[in-house]
Amino acid sequence: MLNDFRDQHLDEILVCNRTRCGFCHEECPVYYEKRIESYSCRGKLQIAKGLIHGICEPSPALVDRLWTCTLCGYCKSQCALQTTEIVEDLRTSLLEAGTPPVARHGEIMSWVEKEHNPYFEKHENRAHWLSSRHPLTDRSDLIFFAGCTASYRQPELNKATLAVLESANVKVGYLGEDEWCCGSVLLRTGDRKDAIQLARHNLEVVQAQGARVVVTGCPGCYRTLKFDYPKLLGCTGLEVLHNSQLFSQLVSDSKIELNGNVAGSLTYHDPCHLGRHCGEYEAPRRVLKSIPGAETVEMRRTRENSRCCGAGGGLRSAFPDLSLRIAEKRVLEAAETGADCLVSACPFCRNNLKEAANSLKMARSLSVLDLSELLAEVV
Amino acid sequence: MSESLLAGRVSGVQALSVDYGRLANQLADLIGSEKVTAEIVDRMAYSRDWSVRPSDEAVLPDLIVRPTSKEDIVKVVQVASSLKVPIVTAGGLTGMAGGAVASRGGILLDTNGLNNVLEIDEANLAVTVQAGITINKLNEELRRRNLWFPHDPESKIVSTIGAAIACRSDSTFGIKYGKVEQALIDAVVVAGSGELIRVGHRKTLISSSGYQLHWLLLGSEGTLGIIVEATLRVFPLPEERALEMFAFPSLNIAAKAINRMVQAGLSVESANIMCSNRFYFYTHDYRVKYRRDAMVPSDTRGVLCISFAGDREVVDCCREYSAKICEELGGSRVGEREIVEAWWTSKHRQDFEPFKQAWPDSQRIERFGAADVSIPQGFLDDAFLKYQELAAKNGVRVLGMNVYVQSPYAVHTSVSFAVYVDDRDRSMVERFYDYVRDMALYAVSVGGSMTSYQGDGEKFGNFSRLEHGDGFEYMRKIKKVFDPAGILNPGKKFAPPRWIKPEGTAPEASNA
Repeated sequence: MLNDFRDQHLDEILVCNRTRCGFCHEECPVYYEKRIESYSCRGKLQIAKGLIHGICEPSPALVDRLWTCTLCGYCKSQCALQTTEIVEDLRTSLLEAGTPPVARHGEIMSWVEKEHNPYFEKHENRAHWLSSRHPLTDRSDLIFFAGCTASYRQPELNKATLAVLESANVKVGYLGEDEWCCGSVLLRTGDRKDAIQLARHNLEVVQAQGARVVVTGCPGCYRTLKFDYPKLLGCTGLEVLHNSQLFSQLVSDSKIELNGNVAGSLTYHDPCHLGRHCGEYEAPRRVLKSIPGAETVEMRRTRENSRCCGAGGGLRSAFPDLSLRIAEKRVLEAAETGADCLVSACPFCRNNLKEAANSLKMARSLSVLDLSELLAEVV
Repeated sequence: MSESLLAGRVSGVQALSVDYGRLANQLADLIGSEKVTAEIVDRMAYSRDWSVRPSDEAVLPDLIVRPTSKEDIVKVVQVASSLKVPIVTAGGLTGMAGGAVASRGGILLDTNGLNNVLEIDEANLAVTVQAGITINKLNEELRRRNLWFPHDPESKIVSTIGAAIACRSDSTFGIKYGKVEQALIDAVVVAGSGELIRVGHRKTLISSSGYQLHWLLLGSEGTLGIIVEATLRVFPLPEERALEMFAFPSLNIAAKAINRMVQAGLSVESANIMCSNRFYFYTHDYRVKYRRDAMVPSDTRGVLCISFAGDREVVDCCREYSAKICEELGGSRVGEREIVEAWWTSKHRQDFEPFKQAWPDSQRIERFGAADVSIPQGFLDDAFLKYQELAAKNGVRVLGMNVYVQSPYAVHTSVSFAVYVDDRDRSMVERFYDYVRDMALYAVSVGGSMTSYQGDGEKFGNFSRLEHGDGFEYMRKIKKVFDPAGILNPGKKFAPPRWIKPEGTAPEASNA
């Protein structure tokens, strides 16, 4: 059942098996809350060994343990092993062998297949966020990939990105209803087969435009377009940018004029998909530092050691209570710095951290913003 | 049940008649269902520790319990005691003697749910914690108040205070602060009967009253009681730290240099001596980077690594005076700072600057295994030769020897005699334990101890009788007092060893 998975990963699983150092353990956001070995990366790799050796079999408990992970990559940052790939590939292999997914993920997978978004919205409404103020442009070499989360749930982020780009006289093309879910949600939760369909479609429409560069405000889309698409489909010939990278470039080229003033201090939360997954830690910080009046302070855990917001890997959709508890820990770390504003560069992080600030009744003392929103206020 | 599930599992007479499904329900009613699991995936996750064992082996406990309070633990132990069900207590699962492996099945009690700091008493420099907090987390809390707890095993990121006490692990800072035994002031423990008892002296280390029952917990490996709280001495954080390395033509002379520093009044914070093999291994990334060997004299047998910490003037003085002492004894300073700095970061940071070794790349094919013995300082050069001889005799390849000085202001050693082990090869695992046995017998023959940081666990079990003699039976009697039903970590310390074949005979010391 897991032959390919075994061939690909058993050697590394046995390295962890013989090592047990636990460097990944205590700071894993899920383990920190659950405090049961099977929820840690080290425990999950033992479970993988158990599956390969026929000691355990797929069961609801096994699915729960393997899917209770944000794939934030903290474990991988402490280890030479491909830990997140192992967990993701094990999820994929189990589903391909017929193991039922987590119920909520199963619903999402079906919906994405039908309507190309994970939010149970109609596909035809995908471009409704776009107001007449930002009409579709006919530019085709630089495409703005809006993503599902901002398109359906946080349209203000897309608008903010466009406002910033407009202030710099950067025109972008937009695919409208031709844009489908990038597939990140499916890839992380184990549905690789359907994700490939989405990838093929998106790549086709982007290439049909003759685009060279794609920019997105969602680190999930960014990682998927930049790294997963070439892995799944071969070379895409595209340059993929996160909006923070484009903003940073525009600021350093003096194309964006920062007129406003931000009073108070800011602390930046590294989104896992942008930071640990793709190695981009500096561009958002450069942008923040360029904002007049803004004083930036770092949290205790930043960059490679940053603590996940709890939203990734399908955790928020399937295990919302746990996801919120993880986000609360991050908000408390932000509050510890004395910052007035917690800035991220990801719609998933922004949403989860905002909810956590609300649940902790800290929303008044600590506002949660996306980098694009903050920047849109000062251009 | 597959063969690999059964592999290595010692059949447990006590556990066979227990209905674990029923017991799980009973315990769930008592302490909460979220703290009890009999799912096979959870049991699999606890199927081993860091001890050398065949890679395909898995030893599954029957039930996992993860309490969050001492009251939970009392309830679990009371039920287990009435049913005579084994309880194996686990901390960070980094033990190397199989101490937290449920070799006789039963309940695995994971203490990681008790992870709070209960009191930081700054005026008295004492901290009280729940036993499942990791050493690193405790230090994270203490650092906010400019304090620290200097018991510092290399597993500090994940190992817990309870495990540090129960396994009496090594500490980087042993030569200045000692190990956890110098830090333990007081403890709360659940005995095998389910009684909750306090042992120790609340906030002072100094007392001539009563028996020092808290000291019995040191190295007890979960066989006397489950440690639930501990009060520990802590220190103000030093402001500055300086590192040095000196190459010596002999391990004994390197040890002598430490004695001279103590005699001279220097305050050494940490000290360890690598043998030339270990130093060669340690400088692998240096050779990759610079394509040459590290610049030390060709007759180097031991490299002394030391640190000093405190106020700048004092540190500078210690540093310079230590160089004078080492040079007088024929040592030479290792001038390449990258090598010196990398020693420290490899112990204390994950980025391993400046060489950025990617852990655990070194364990991809073979793993490290070590005979961890204590050798009296006058025998270090002899032990180096014996190490080569006994490794060759048993067909295991030498990696290197590292001497950690573990006693405040005195050279009492914990020596790791490391070798490579391919744990996919069961016969090699057996040869490794033959080598460990021979090294243990050698250590005892020169007045040392067969284990200095890993513990007896299932590795040595009652083989340690050869070290303890008549005292061994008194240990058994003490065990009976604390654990009359024999439920606490059965199969460890007092049972026949898992791997060691007792027929080995003690090799003679080569000199001294």
